[in-house]
Amino acid sequence: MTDRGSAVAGFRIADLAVGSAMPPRRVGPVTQEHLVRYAGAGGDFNPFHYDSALVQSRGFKGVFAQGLFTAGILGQTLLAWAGENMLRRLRVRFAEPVWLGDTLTFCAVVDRVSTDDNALTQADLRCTVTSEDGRQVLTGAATLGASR
Amino acid sequence: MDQDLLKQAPTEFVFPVEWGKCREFALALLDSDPASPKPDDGGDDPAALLMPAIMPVCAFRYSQDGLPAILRLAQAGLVDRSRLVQGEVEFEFHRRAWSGEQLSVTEKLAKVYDKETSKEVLRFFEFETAFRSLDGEPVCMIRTVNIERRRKDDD
Repeated sequence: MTDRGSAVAGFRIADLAVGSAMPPRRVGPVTQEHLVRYAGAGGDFNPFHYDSALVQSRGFKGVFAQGLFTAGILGQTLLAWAGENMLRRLRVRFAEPVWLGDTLTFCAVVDRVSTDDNALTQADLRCTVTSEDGRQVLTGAATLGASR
Repeated sequence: MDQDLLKQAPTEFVFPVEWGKCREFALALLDSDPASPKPDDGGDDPAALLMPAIMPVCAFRYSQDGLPAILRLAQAGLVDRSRLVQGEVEFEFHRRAWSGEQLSVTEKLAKVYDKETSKEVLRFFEFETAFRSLDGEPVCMIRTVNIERRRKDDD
């Protein structure tokens, strides 16, 4: 169902260069069980994520995943790759619905490496989550850097 | 646009960071590493890291009425929940948070604005949720954008 990726956490940010990439992670197919389990953990029981008759009556083709389910997996994948102390900023935009049955690929590529006034190096990454049929369901940006 | 929306009082509550909840989230997010998050070992190193994904939804569990701000607006009839979609979420992390810690949470509506397309009127609700230690030290800031979509021919 899920591949956590082969990267070992804890590299040095200074070793990253423009074009460095997080090993892609594939997750899927997304099932109703995943969405119900996520709803239970978070406490948000929006019926759009489990009631197919309701969502179809509203013009959707079926149940779709919570945006934060996809964003959360992206966040955890970045943390697993870079190390849990390295995520400084994460911005995500929900571009397309994730439908039941979708298999997703999580990617992040370094756009920029810089050093701030305190001599701390940080890396800015462009993040995407893509479905197998080529839809970009989430786009985003992350900043990695050593924290206190 | 109704600027009175911006006069809504911020919501404040305390968010107790619990290891079991972090672990439940890890499993729900398909994190198969049994060591993540780790239980507090009682020493300086490492307790469970608070998972970022919990923070945007913690109001469901810990706010007084069990609602995040956007659903409170919906309950008050100021937003049509059935027309809401999630737009963006941005996390800015100032430091890590640990299980056993209590965080003070302040959630407020920061901006409301409309955009029009040929077919729809889109109302954007931007919320800022600040997480601080009980001493006031910044831990995390989350900015969320929810969009209410209304077709022009519905009006």
